[in-house]
Amino acid sequence: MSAEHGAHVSAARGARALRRPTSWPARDPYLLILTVVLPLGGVVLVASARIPAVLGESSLLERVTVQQMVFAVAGVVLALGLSAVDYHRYARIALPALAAAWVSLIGVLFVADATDLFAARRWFRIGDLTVQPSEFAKIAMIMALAALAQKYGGAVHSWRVSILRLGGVMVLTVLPILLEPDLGTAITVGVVGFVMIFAAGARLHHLLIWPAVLVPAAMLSIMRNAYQRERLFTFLSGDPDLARTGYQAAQAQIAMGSGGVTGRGLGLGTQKFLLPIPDSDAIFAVLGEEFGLVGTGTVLVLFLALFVRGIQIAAASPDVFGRLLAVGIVTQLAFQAFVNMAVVTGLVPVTGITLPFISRGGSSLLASLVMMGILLNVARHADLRRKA
Amino acid sequence: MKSVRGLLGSRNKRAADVDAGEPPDPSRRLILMLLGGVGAAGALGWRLFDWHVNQAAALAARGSSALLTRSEINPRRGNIVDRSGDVLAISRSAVRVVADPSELHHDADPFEVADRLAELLGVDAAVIAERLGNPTSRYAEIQREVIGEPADAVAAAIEDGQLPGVRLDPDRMRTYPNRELAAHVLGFVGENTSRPGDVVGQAGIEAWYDDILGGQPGIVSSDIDRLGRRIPIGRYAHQPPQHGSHVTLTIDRTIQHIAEQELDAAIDEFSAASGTILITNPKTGEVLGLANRPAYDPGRMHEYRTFGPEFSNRASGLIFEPGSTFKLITMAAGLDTGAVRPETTHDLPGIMTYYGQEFKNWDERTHPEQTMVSVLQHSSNTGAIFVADTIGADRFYSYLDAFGFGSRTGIDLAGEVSGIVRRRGDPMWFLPDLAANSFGQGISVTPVQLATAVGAIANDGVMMRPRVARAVTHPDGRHETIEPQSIRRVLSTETARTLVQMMEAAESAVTGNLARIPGYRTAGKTGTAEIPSGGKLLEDTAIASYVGFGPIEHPHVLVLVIIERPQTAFFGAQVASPTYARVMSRVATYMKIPPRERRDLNAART
Repeated sequence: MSAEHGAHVSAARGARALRRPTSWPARDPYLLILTVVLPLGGVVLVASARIPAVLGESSLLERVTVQQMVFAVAGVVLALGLSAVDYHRYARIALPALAAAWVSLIGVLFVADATDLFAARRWFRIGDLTVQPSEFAKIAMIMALAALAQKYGGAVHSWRVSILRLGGVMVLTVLPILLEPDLGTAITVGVVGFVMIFAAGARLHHLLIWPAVLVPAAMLSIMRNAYQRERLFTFLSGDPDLARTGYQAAQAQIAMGSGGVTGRGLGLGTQKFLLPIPDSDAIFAVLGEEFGLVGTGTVLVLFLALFVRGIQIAAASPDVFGRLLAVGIVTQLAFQAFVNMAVVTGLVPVTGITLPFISRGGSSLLASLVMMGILLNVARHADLRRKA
Repeated sequence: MKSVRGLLGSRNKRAADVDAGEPPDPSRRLILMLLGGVGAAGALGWRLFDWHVNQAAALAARGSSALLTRSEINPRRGNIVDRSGDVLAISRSAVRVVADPSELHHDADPFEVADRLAELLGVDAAVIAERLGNPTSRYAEIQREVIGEPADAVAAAIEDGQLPGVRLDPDRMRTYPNRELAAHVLGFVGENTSRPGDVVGQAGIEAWYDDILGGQPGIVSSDIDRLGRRIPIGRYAHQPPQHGSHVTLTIDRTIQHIAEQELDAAIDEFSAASGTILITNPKTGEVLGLANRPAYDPGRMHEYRTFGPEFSNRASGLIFEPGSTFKLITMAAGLDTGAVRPETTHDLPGIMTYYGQEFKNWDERTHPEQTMVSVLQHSSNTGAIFVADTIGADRFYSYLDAFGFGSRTGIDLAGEVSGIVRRRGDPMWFLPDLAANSFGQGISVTPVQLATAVGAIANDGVMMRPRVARAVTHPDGRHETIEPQSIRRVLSTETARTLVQMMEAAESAVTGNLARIPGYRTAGKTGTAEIPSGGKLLEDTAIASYVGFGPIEHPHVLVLVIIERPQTAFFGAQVASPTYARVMSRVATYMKIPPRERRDLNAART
């Protein structure tokens, strides 16, 4: 199939195709490097951040680290595999996938174990595994928005398309996530949808409608939730030393400072013993302590590079579907990374959101790498020599 | 403004786009997104630089102080052994049963756990349940100093998972295998408030040598996590504890036992309230035995609700009026100053008036033309007044000072008191007081002071500092001997020897003297402190005493017997002398002091 499509592209683009070999798996070396480096680096950091678990029952080579390793390798292989799958195929499955995502998002509200931490209903528990439908829903929404934008083309200027159809898809994805409640993910997904509709060319005043609805809804959600409210007020008070919620922010800040420019060295950070979830939400702080500014700066630059490259791919992609897929995917990954790093560095209030590729967590890692696989394929079709 | 509008797509252009049915040029919006991304990254980068570089030192310092904790490891307290190495006090490893109530309340029914613990420890379940009561607390002490079978049983139950949240912490307990024996010498220990699990000496040797016995705590400083567990890659410094040294006493367990047995017997026989027996070696100042009644068991301190009289070390911590035994001191001063000689004679009136105050002999009998030996023999108060008057008040009191009355002897037991001596020139001193003091009234001394002063007579005039410790053995094996220490020479050798001969002669002349010990030559003096009240003696407040030493060829055992408030007899000669004789004779046998002549011994028996 790949070969057939490759032939089609070279026929359409003529001589230029000759300079762009179609060898499997991917053609974009920058994106390829990011696909491999970020998850594998993440495994190393998770292993380090899991050291406190040694004090409990786990052994040094403990289950979570091994799981993360397996997921990372499997995820990278999956991404490379997906990079050979023509992204146009997703246009056909986009709407059924979105429907399935909705069903699972609504389902989780009724099925999930309500005795969970914070009583949030975010996961399906299947034996030992937990599956987060919102991870799947992110991808489905990106595909659906891209497919709809492709279908309606220039009609995106019409409010029927931009507000009802595209906006409707976004809102119907965000609302159930907000109800779980998972404010962090809801904001991320909402922002991704918003940016995609923006990139699709919707009129600016159409763009303002849904935020006008969603932002109050989010505020209401915050106020209804004691811990989220507390987080917000802690942030607004500007005092990171506040006992409970401020504790995490203060410990993260100490971790960063202790790391200095070059860090204490891998595994040698001590703040992870004090940080509440060092292997997940606060892994950036562990990175900061053990690798210093060099480490955090590198990760920041890598995510910025991913974002820039994604936008370049979007600009160079041959159709609206590819362009919006690329925009949605890099916005999803980069914005989530930004929020996570901003939380750790105290720029925004604490929201429980993971650092893509790096934080512990199998389904989140797989979702990120699936998106990278799709993006790699969009990159194959893009004419990256064209000026963005 | 124009350029931004251009980027977003102008109104006009947008209208055209709609009409044309074509999407706007997407590049502009993508560039705007790029700018947004770069801006966000810039904000993050600025923050990272600020924290990693600008604030690094301050933040790192904050982290250091928050993490590092310091804890102390308790040292092992040294043993106390008697002069031949028999253990009198020892620290044993025990366990302390403690619990994390919050964990317990989370995992189990606290009342069930309390019942189980009560069964294992033999304690009231309600008390344990109360200690476990607070579900938010993280630490509760259930029982200290658990040892042996109950400790094993609790350990097994914890292993079994029957007692969630309960654990055993190391503990030490101070045990006194001989119970009450030498209780006032040993003293006792109490919880060290600044270091849980450790004890601090609060009386006797335990208090006096607390630094030596207690050692120095070890220090562990380490980084800990939120649950108090040590962070393996954190800072860690460990300084092992310096264990306490062992103290060897001058006390001999057997002599101590003799003293306590005979004291009990005397108190029982005369229905006395309390008493003290002090056995010393006047040549070295060593205390061989020190018994007080009432006494306590230092190993069961938790059972005492109040600090009653049983905790007083009467030998050094309480004062009494010495009475006639004090005539030895008066006589020693008289001989040493040359005021009197043994053969000096004087009338001893039954009743006399001295500076307006009336004084009597104990039997109110007059003895004309008596030698100084007779003064001791009859224990004549008027004779003692004659001696003191001849010496003169100034010289008399300077001898009292030299004998150490009115100041501490420096014995190595906590809580020594100095006694009360009012000298000429003191506000409450009047001329008749000299007369009263000369026979041991109107003056307060401790038994240890009296034994030390009389010891100077036995030791050729040199007074030795009393002490109960003779050596310290450090944990590294170093052995430090505490050498005998003389306080001062009080009398000339000649005076001392003369007085000893006079004492022996006087005691020998007493018919039916109960203080006599067959086969041994000893010197001594009875005492009956009479507390006058409205001219009448209150018999139930008398203090009967005897102080003596022997053998007089080489006096190295001194015995002081004090029986307070005897009910069935009254005079020192009746109450204290027989006890003195039994103690002295048993100690002489135990110490293998050869009798003077076997023939004499046989003669004495017939």
